[in-house]
Amino acid sequence: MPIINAEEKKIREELRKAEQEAEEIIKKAKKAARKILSRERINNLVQERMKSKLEEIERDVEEIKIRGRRIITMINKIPEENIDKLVEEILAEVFKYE
Amino acid sequence: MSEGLDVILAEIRKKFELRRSKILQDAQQEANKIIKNAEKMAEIEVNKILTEQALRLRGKLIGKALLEVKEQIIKAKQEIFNTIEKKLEDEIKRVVEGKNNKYDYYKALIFFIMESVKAIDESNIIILANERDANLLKKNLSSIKQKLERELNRPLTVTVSDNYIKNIGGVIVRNAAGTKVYYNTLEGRMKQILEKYRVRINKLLFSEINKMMKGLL
Repeated sequence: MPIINAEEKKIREELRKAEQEAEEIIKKAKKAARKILSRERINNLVQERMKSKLEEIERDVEEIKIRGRRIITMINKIPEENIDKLVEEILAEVFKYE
Repeated sequence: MSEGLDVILAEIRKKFELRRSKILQDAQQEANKIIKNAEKMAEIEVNKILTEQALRLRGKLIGKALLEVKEQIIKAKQEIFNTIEKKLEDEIKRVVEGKNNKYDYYKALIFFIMESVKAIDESNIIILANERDANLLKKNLSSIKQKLERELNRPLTVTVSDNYIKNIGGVIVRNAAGTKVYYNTLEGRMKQILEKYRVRINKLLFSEINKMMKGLL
């Protein structure tokens, strides 16, 4: 029947358009995906997150320095009498005569 | 148009609409999947690079800090060793000058000669000392010779050299040919004993510090 044929033709045309639209959606998505995976974006993200990593490392470095300073303070606070005692012991060894 | 035709057309349009929205829905789903997958891959890549870079940076910065701290600690420990060495040297000088009654320097000197002569194991020996000690030895040479001969149970020729050495005290003993030399100066003894004591000093003075350093390094 001519009416049905005309309607079918119209529908086929609209279906073709829908398929084109669908292809366009996929195309756009692929383009967006390429952008997401672009070196520039990845590098930017790395840089951004590296800041907090660097802060974390710097905190650890500071902790090492603090502990180092604590050790040096301990060394400098070694009691004089402990040193003198050792000197006395070594002196006896230097002048040891059997 | 007849009513029946309208129904058929409506049916066809309805089916078309369903098909159309299915095509678009599938496309949208596929698009979402592509984006989600890209985000996931990007995240993996970012994390991979970040981990590598952070690890490298950590190694570099922590390594540098540890090295600096270690050097400072070694320097501080060395200063303690230097203090011990300086104090010891001062005390040795006091003994030599007779300002420390706990030790008899002359007896020590005779012992150093005895030890050296035994080590050289020769009959003709020459003793080198600083001017002060050499004069003292020359003055007592015959009694020193007797003592040595008695101890070694054999005759000896003992000479105190006129070539003086510059040192705090102690002696250098050699045979006449100069092929055998025994260094028994106070400086030499001090260095040798200090070296021997390094482990003990480390244990006595720095055991707590060494424990702390183990935790740090």
